[in-house]
Amino acid sequence: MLSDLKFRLRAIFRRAEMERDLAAELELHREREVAKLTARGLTPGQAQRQARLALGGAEQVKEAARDTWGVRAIESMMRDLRHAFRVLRKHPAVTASGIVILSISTGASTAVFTVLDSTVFKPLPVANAERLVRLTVVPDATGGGRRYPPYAAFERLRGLTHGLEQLAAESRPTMPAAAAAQRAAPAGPPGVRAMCATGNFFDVLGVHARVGRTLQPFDESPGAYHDVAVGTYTFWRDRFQLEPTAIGSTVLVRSRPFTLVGFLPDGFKGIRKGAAFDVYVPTAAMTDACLGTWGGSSTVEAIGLLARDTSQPAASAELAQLWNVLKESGDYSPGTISGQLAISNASRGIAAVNDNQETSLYLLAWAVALIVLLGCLNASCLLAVQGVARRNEIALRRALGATASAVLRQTMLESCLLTAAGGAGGLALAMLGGQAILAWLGQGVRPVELAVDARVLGFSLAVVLISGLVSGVIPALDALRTRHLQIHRDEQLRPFRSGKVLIGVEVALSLTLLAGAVMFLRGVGNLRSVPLGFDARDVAVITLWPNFDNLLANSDQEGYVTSEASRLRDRLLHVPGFEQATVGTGRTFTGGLRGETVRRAGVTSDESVAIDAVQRVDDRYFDVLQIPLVAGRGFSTRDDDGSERVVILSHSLAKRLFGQANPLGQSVSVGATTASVVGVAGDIQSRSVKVPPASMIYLPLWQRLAGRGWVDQTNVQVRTRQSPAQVSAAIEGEISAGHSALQPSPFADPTTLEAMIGASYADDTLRLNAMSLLASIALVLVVVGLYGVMAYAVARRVREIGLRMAIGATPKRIAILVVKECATVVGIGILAGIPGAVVVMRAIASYTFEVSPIDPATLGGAIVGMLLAAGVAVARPIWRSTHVDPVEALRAH
Amino acid sequence: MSDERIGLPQGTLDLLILKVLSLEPQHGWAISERLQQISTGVLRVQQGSLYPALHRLERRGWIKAEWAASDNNRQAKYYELTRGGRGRLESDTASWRTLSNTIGSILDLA
Repeated sequence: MLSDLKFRLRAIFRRAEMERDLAAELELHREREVAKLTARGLTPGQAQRQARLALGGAEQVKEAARDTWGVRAIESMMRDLRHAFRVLRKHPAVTASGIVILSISTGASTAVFTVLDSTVFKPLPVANAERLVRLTVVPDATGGGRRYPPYAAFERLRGLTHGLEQLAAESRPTMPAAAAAQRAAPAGPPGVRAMCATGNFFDVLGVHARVGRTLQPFDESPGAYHDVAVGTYTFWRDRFQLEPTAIGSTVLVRSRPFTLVGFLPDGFKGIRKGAAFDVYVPTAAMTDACLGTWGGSSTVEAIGLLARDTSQPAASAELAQLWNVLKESGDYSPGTISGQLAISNASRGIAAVNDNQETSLYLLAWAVALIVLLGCLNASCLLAVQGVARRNEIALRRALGATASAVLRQTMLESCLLTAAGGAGGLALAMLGGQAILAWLGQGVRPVELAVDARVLGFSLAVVLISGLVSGVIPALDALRTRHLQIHRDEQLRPFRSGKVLIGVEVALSLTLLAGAVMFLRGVGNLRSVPLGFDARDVAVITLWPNFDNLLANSDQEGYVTSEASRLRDRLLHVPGFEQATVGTGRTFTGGLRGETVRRAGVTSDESVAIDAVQRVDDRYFDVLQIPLVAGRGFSTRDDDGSERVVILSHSLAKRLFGQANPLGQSVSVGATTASVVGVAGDIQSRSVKVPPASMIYLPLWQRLAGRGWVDQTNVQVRTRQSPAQVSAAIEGEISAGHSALQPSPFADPTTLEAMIGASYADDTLRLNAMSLLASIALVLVVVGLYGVMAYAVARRVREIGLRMAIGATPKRIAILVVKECATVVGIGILAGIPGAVVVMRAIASYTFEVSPIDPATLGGAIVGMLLAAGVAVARPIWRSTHVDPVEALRAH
Repeated sequence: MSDERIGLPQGTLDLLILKVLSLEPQHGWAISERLQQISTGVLRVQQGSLYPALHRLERRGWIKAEWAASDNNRQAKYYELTRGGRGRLESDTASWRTLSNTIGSILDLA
């Protein structure tokens, strides 16, 4: 085996040496034979002749010897490759445009794959990845997003479940703990970014410490949790240069010391793709920061390890049952345990993008796949045009004995070479493209690393190969149809059919993309025209945060914050350029306390109605936002803790609670607070414009909501033409004047209401932009292809056109002739594309807002767009056809 | 050229070359001479087919080639049996014996 390989390698790479050896060997043989024959008495001439006869033709012998070297296939491949190189170099324009087109399509597809792979697809590098599941609570009809089970229930489930071997949790702590503490003294222990995990987390994943130990169940035994931390590999490398002695060092999380007990292996970065953190700390050691909240109780993002003898559906059924048991146990308030507990596969970890962004990526992937196909078709067109020009050459090769497979191999090799060059360019573009896609997806994407790894390389190689084969098929078939009889026949007699077929297909494909883009355009248009219920124009929103240093001295912290907030509001009214200002706990759009319920006073909690948000607002709120009061009064500064508790309901909520009865003067209970209804406000959209108007409850800023902590953030909304940054600066100027209870929020940038509303359907806008971009690329490809094919078709018919003109055809008639030809191609393409467009429109209807999947206007818009593009493409060839000089044309041919 | 000389059956040239080389390393012409000699002129070995056969055997690793000075001080490519080639020679010889015996006995029967 080895000697065989060595021999063949030598035959390839030391070819000249082998040839020399062979020649010398045969020469020696001949000399010896001549010498022998001469010694027998033959004359030198006779001896020479005799020896040559005995040995046979030197070239035949050499050929026979070469055949035994076992490198024939490789040799002919190399020869074909050299030939392909020469052909591609001979047509630099065609080659260059082909490479550019294929670079774009390979680059775009690899970019999308890279992003999808690093944010969603790549499996977790842990031993138990296949058995990991994730637990989420899917809300029932009452609405709301997917959320996580309560921590208390998690603890109970841990003890009850059999289908899951273990339940563990990893969670990202709230902001201050996630960020490295800046306050650590320079000489003291370093502040680090923490991630929370339960003690059994690493057991569940099957991850072992590189050095030291991981977190263990005993780290979180009740009442005896340990302040220990386990560092990531990168943290260990960057901070401690991989010194094992780093174990035992102290790090600060939220100014609290934790002792490092071990470091994790390289490559393991938690189950959240793209999460950036330095250490794991036990969830139990920092429950306040590690657990989320919903409806006033702690929640946790749980993962489970499927037992070996169970399936995911079985475990799912068991958990659903346990969830119902917990629901009926009465141990939890009805708001906290609701909906259905669901488990989903977590072998790939938790995506770095949210569900909406993931969907956008899939849509993008489909659209890019179409672009790749278009790129292939275009390259195919180029090669086919070039192939027609080379018919004579191919016919000659066939006549000289080239087999069909040799011709096929040759054309396929050319297309593959072209796509390979395009692929190399594409890979270079892909990383830039990937970064662009991540930026495009916008907020909320965790910063994953994009790298050219084996998976990415494999993908782009597959794209290159498939592109090469796809773009090679038509030119190859064209070449095969070439018969040697045609060598002397007039080239122009054969219509250039394959090019037109390709262009027709391109038109059809681009029409589907165009239809998709128009769908998204209409969807976003619909979103923009949803009535909001308030006036969002020129409203700057500034979020303020309590200033703990100044607050701690005060016994009534909440009272201090609210009085500070209303004083600030009064001062802002005097700032030049501020037309109106209001303060409240939440922003008009996206703000307010969530997860509350409300009921008529006196009825049981079974009749509670879930509400979307509770807002505490000042006396000017409804004026400033221009939310109409349907009945009753607004708030006044006299609605404080010392007076009767009052509440304003949104219109639809009032209807739900009281039906046709007059809600004014009735009492309602919000959580533990009972208040009387003094007003009904118009409905507004909150958080999203895609859902029915929100059920809102408004409380006066100065009355507290019992049992719901205190105001943590204050939002100032100012109607002004100034930029949010200017408004923020003005507010900072006002609050820095005294020892204020407020400071600018480190977590929320100044913004405007309109920006927030736009951000709520950012996904739709993104999809629109992406689709528009891809549809434009598709149109450009079609225009280029159509132009190329029609220009070529006209050039081939110059003689015919000249002849027609010579015998009296007017330019108009010629133009009609060519227009007909173009119209046939485009028309058939459009007709063929309509079913595809309808399929695409139906498929994406669910991703667009209130756009009908069978909307003739959408399809019509796409068709008009396609016709316009086609018009641009064929204008020049048509013009050219009418300017043929008959004398020139006939003389030249 | 006498018509009594017979052509080699397919595949036996390799065996004969291995046999010749088992005595001592040789270059191409000498192998061809040797074959003529031992077969006392009965076998007709196409000299041209000798070289492809040598290269084939070399590729399979049964013989190896080396350039060395020949008797009249010219560089010649000497072929030498390898360990694998020796084993091959033995097994091929054995199977050839079996084959020729079997065919011989069948012919005797008839």
